[in-house]
Parts: sequence; structure tokens; C-alpha cells
Amino acid sequence: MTPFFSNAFAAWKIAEALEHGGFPCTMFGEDMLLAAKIIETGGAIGYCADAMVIHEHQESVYSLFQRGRTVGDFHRLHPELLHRFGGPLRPPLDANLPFIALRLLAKTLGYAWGRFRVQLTPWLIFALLWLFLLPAITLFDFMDPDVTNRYAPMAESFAAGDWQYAFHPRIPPMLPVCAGIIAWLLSCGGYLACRLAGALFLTSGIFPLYWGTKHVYGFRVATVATLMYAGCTRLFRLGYYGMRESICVFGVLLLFQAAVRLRMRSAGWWWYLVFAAGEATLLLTRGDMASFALATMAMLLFWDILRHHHPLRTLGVTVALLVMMLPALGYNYRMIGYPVTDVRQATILRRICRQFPVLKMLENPHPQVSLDIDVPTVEADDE
Amino acid sequence: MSDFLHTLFRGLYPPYIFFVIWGIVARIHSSRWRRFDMLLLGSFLLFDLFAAFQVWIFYGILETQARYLRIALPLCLPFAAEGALAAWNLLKREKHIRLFTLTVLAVLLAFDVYSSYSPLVQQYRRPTKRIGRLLSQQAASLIKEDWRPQPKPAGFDQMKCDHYQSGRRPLVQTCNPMRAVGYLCGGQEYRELFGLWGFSPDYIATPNREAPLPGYVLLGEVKSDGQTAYVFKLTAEKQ
Repeated sequence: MTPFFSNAFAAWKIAEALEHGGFPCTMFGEDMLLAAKIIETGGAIGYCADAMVIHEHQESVYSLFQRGRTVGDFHRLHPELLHRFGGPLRPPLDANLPFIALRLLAKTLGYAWGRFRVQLTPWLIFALLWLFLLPAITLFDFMDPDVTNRYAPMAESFAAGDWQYAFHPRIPPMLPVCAGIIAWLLSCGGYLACRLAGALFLTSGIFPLYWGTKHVYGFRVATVATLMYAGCTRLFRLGYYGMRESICVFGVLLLFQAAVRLRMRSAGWWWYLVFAAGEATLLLTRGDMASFALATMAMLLFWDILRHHHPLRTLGVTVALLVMMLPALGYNYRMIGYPVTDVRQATILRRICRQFPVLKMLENPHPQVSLDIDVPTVEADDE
Repeated sequence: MSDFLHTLFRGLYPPYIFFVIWGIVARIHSSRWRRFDMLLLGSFLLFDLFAAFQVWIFYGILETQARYLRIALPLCLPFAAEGALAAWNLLKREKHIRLFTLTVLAVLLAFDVYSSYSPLVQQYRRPTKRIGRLLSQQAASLIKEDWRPQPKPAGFDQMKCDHYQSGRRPLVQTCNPMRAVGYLCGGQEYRELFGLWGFSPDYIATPNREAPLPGYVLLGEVKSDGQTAYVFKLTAEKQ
């Protein structure tokens, strides 16, 4: 049974229609909604094959797309019609001519966009961003000394299983490991793998940004915010430099989406895991993210006590975070003597241990490398 | 200090900050400002505060890079989007203003695309960068052809906690526009720590014709756009 009903070629029993509340207030499909209501309450609609109606539109391909989008919008807003009466998509009967196929394609694409645009939007922006990033990565060289002297050789060592040179206390393992996996999977050089890893994390950031923003600010704001993210030249550049900052951007966005969901009472436990993953992404990418990571953990603790009157969830996040970072902490404990993710954190922890001897138990008395660091020079941005 | 402040300003990404402020004002004006907005804005500012002073925290130097600050930029994009939509709602009312706005947007978009690729384009168009890139590639292939793999000398596997070394040879000493030569030829860049461990560079790539150190002979020269770089090789008796 179909509730399809069009005022363009229909006659209503007015009393019956008014009895069911008349036409509902809607942008589109008021006739179909009323027909569905009548059918659901035991009434019926009929089709008169003898009746003759002339109803004609000169539809362009674009207006067919728009028409399809309107119908898709209508079905997105009234999913109960689809559940009750089934979907409208049927195999075309006479789509043998290319022109008909094109018109059907336009209408179907319009319908898909109208009905699924909330889900499709981030994927389209994701594809668009890759479309712009791929030529930048594959066709142009950008030899940043940080990448060629550190991350690329580390990724190549990881791909080759040469663990001694795949890790280093100064460089948290996120980028070398991810780029190393890419280099191993694609059998490519470390330099290309670093740039692909950077692009992958930058483009993946679209999803937490979009869904987090949509949840709080709605679809339009989320779409524009995500487009602004994709169109931000300075973020875009991070995607092909092959450096660590694009992974940090992804980590920050994971924290953002987790924070959006955790403020709701119905938030599932996995959002705490997402929060821990965001923290781990930051800490395992850049050592200097520790201060921000600590601040966000403090915010979570404060919120947890305020909302639940106990810090059990924060404790859970801390445990999950420690588990995620365990390999890096273990490596640095063995190499430089402190369970941290970066050598600079170790210098601070060493100072703290000197102040509070009870913390000496955190120290490895026999590290493989001494903890003497030089003051670096910060190079100017290449912009 | 002025450099530091300028970097902070660039790190905030001025093209979006205008919309961010507009978005915040619009939310407050329409009584839609919520606690979560405060949390988001607070997190953004907190992140930039830490990023601005992280070098100072670890080393006591007041320096930073704009790209460190931009990591948190997505946190203020919801406000920027609100601001952009508010601006569009204001401008779309009249047809000629709408057309003008769309034209300006198209021009900005074209500039945006150019700006996104400009560091790459500069690698090919700006003479210093193009020459540096081409000379690096040529010097690297010259070294690659000449280098015969040798067993690693004792002590070459050492590690320093704040400097990464890839354990690869040849060691190539270079200067700034050609710092990738070491990686490109399959080895690594020669840095100070190798000198402290008693190792000399296997090759030196330099724009100067004279041998930079005793014990090196000219392996060859590479040219690009009228510029020449000279590649010197450590002599066998010095190794």
C-alpha cells in the first residue's frame, strides 16, 4: 500500500479531510501526510485510472535534483512514513535512454542529498579535502628538515623493524609509528609516509569536529565550521608538511567531541574512552602537550565530582590513558630513567623528585642514556 | 618581544578571528551563550596560553611558533561559523549585495586555494628555494653514486637523549637550503653531536669552492640556475 497522494491531480472528501485535522503545516507533502493519516485510521485512498489530468513541468536536470532533494528532505523529516509504507526508490522501468538515465540520476542524487545530507556532509568534505591534499603530497616536494632528519628515518626504521632507530626519548612515538605503518603497508619512503599520516589525521579531524558541533550548534553551523576547517590554509598546510601538529589537531578534536557527549547524562562509557584516546593522542605526539592534557584532566575531574559526587569516571579515564601510553612510558623509563612520554617532561619530573624524595621510586637508577639536554633554538616558521 | 607578540597574533589566525568575535557577540546578544560555549572558549585560550609559553616552561626562552598555536584553532570554529552565518544573513537581504558578497567570496576562495599551496609553489618558483631543492637532489645523487657501504665504526650507535640520529651513513655536512641532502642520499645530516663522539662528516656539500676542512677532496660540483654547490669527500687516509 502506498500513501502517495498528490494535490496536483486529486479530489478530497472535505468532511473526511477536516475530520483528520486537515492539511498539516509543512513545507512539502501535506497531501501525502494527510493521506497517510487517513489510511492509518482505517480509511482509504483510491486511484481512478479513467480520470484525465494535464499537469506539466519543464524540468531541467538541476530542478530535478532539487525536486529529489525536497522529497529526500521530506522523508528525512517524516521517517514514520518509510517505516509504515516502505521506501520510494524503485528500479527504473524505462531508463534505457541516456537522457532519462541522467534525469533519474539527478533526481536520485537530489533525493540522497535531501534524505542523507546530515550523514553525507562530513564524508563529502573529507573527500574534498583529500582531493586538494593528494596533489600537494604526491606532486610537490616540501623538504622540511624536521621531517627529513627525524620523522622520516624513524618511520623507515619502524617499517623495517629496526626498533633501535624507530623510537627516541625526544620524539613521542605517534607520528613515527603511524607513518611507519603506512610506509610498511604501502612500501613507500618515510618522507611520503609522514606526509600521508599528517594528511590522514587532518582529514579525520573533520568527523569529531562536525558531529560535536552539530550536537551543540546544529547542522548549518556544523557544516560551515567543517568547511572553514577544510578551508583554513594554515591547517591545510599542516596536512602536507608531514609534521606532528596535524595529529595534535585530531587529538584536540577528539577531546572536543568527547566533551560534547559527556555533558549529557545519557553519555555511554565509550565516550570516556574517546576522551582518554584524545589525551593519549596529544601526549604521544608532542611532549609539550602535557600541560594542556593535565588541564583538561583537571576539568574532567571537577565536572565528574560536580555531576556524580565521586571521581570514579576520571579514575577510569586515567587508567585507560595509562594503558594506552604504557609502551611509551616503559620505553622512556628504560632509556632515560623516567616514565614519561618526552624527554622534557623527564627534566621536570627529575626536579620534582629532587624536591620530594618519596617520588624517587619513579626513577630508574640505571637508565641507558643520560638526561643532559641542550637548550634548542626555535626556528622561524617557514611562511 | 615584538617577534613573540607577532607570532602570537599570527597563531590566532586573523582571517577567522573576526568571525569568531562576531559569532560570540551574536550568541551573547541573542541570549544563546551557554556554559559549554564558555568551556570551549576557555579551552581554546588555555591551549594557546600553554602553547605560547611552552618553550619558556621547559627552557626559559620566550619563543614560540605560530603552528603550535594553531593546533587549537578548530575549537573556535563553531563561533567562527556562527559569525559567518550571521554575516551572510545580514548580507543576503538585497540581491545586489548578495551578488557582491558571492563575488568577494569567490575571490577569497581562489586566494585561499593559492595560499594553501603557496609554500609548495615557492619551492619551485622562489629562486633561493628552487635552487636549494634542485642542488640538494643533485648533490644527493652524486653522493649516492659514490658511497660504498661500510661497516659502522665502533660507538656509532650512541644516542643522546635530546638529539635523534638515524644510525645511517654517509654523514653529510650541509648548510641551510640543502639540509635534506643527508636523508636523500640514504644517510643523515652531520650534526655537532657526531663531532663530540669523534666522527667526521663523510661528505660536505657547500657553496664554497675551497675545501672546508683538511683531508677532503672535491668529489664534484652540481649546478642549478647559475648557482653551484661543491661536494667534498673525506679522503681514504682520513677515515
